[in-house]
Amino acid sequence: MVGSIAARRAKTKRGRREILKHEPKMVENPKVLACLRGHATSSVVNGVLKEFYSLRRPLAKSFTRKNSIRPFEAAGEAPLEALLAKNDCSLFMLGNHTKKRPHNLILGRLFDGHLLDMVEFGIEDFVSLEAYTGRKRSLGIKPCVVFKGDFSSDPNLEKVKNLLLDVFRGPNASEVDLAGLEAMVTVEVKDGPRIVIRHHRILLKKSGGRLPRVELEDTGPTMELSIRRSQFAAPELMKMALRQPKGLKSKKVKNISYEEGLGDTVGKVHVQKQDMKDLALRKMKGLRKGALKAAEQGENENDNAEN
Amino acid sequence: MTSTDVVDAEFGMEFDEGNMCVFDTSTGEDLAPAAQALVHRLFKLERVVDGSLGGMRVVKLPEGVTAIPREKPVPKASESTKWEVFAKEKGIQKKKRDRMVWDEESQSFKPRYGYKSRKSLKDVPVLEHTSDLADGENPFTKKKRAVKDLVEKNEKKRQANEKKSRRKGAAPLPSLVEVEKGPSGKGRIPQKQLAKSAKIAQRSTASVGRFDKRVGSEADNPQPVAQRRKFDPVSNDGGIKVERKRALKIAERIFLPKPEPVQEPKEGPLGKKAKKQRKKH
Repeated sequence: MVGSIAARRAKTKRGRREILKHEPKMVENPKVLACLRGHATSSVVNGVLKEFYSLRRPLAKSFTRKNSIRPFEAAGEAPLEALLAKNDCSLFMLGNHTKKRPHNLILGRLFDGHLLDMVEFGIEDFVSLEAYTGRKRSLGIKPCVVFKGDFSSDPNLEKVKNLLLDVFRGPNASEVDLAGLEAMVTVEVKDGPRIVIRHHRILLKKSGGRLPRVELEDTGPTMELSIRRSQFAAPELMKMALRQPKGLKSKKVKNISYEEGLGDTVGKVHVQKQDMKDLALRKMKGLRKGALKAAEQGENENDNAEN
Repeated sequence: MTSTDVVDAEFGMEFDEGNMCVFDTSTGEDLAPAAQALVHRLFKLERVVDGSLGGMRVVKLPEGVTAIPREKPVPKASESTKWEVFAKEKGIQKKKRDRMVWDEESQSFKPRYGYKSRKSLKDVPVLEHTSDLADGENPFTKKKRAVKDLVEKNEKKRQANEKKSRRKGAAPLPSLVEVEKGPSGKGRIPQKQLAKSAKIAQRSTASVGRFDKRVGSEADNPQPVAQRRKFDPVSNDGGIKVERKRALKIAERIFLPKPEPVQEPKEGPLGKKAKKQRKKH
């Protein structure tokens, strides 16, 4: 890893703990987004960086100094990788502004301390969340994500979709409180291709039934993105990055199901056919082996006596 | 809501409840149907039954469907120690032992090991001189030494296990020498570097290598780290002389004209060639 703290040896116990935190794990830490400024920025770019940072907090780090990082140039990703490794971030958002590429936003991610993929967007029609009134999103919440439109027409668009989901899905969660379903991000693809990103607040209204009626309220920020340059991972590298540890996938639970109607857990019990052969029943005189014979004999004797 | 209604509401949508995400490929501008369908899907998930949650309605999220790359590779399982291999082969299972054990002698519970333990010799006034002891051998020191030996043995084994399990690509131990790749592709330490690092190692002890045992071809006297500073004598007779001498030397260098460098006669155009030819003949 380039410049990562794992490459160094800790001198103190605390340092060792810090290294342990950064080490590869079975169940990973949630990805941290680094919001970086390039060599020059515009107010639009600064606004986007600031607001994406505020939406992803606490899984984000904001860097306010200028960095002359140009990841699309030859060997341009090295300083970026070094900076991100130092801060243990694996998602980054680099904003810059030039005459050639005004209001530029590079979104990318790292795997194992090295650049995996990145996409460059041009920001248009940015509306800050300050322009919207109403309640702002709670801190550290896991938002719902809606992808609207046909992303499958272009394989690169599919990759952009995956990257955006990685950025927007927020913290890892195995359980969610339904009352906390309050944030939603919508990513809409339009011809061009252009990507429209909107943020909403979910309002759960009474519907008369068990399931609520959903209303959306715009909270901002809203922006339209045009895709500029991109660099995607080689298939082998992506395959490596997608590899999951063996023990992580939960085992399929058989014969136990959940019925959503009343919220019952239903178990199915399979009973094997009972073997009646060795069934221990109450022993009776009349059912004894040879009892029939003896009875017949007795009858014959009686008959004889009668005769 | 009937099942056909649900099918209609979810037309053209794919769900990934684990990531709380919906992919809506249907035409139409409105975002609300997809949002509604996703929220309904989440509401239908299995509830978490836990009294401590109070009135909260918490659902279990399934695993995500969309494959999202990891941020770091899957950690390699650390190599099992020699004991673990042995235990597995023999089917030995780890058992939790009580910390306190009954001590017959003192008729009380005592820690199995450590401070105030059963093994402690602190409160033992007398030990039997058993037959396995040599004449005049102290049974106390023997017991103490046995414990020390055991600790040493365990430490050796621990180090061996650690060496075995050290991952490839892990941070190497700090070394004084840089290993370079030889022509065979194996690591090779250049002779010069080895000598240099040996020298550093020699004087890396508290006694600057004075009392260390030497091996084979090792030089007997490690080089001194630094020379002692020498000061000029401060007494009136010797000190002034030395100082004057030094001052004069400096003054000479500054004020006296430099001797002109003697120019060597340049070689002719034939120069070296001619010399070589002359040698040949």
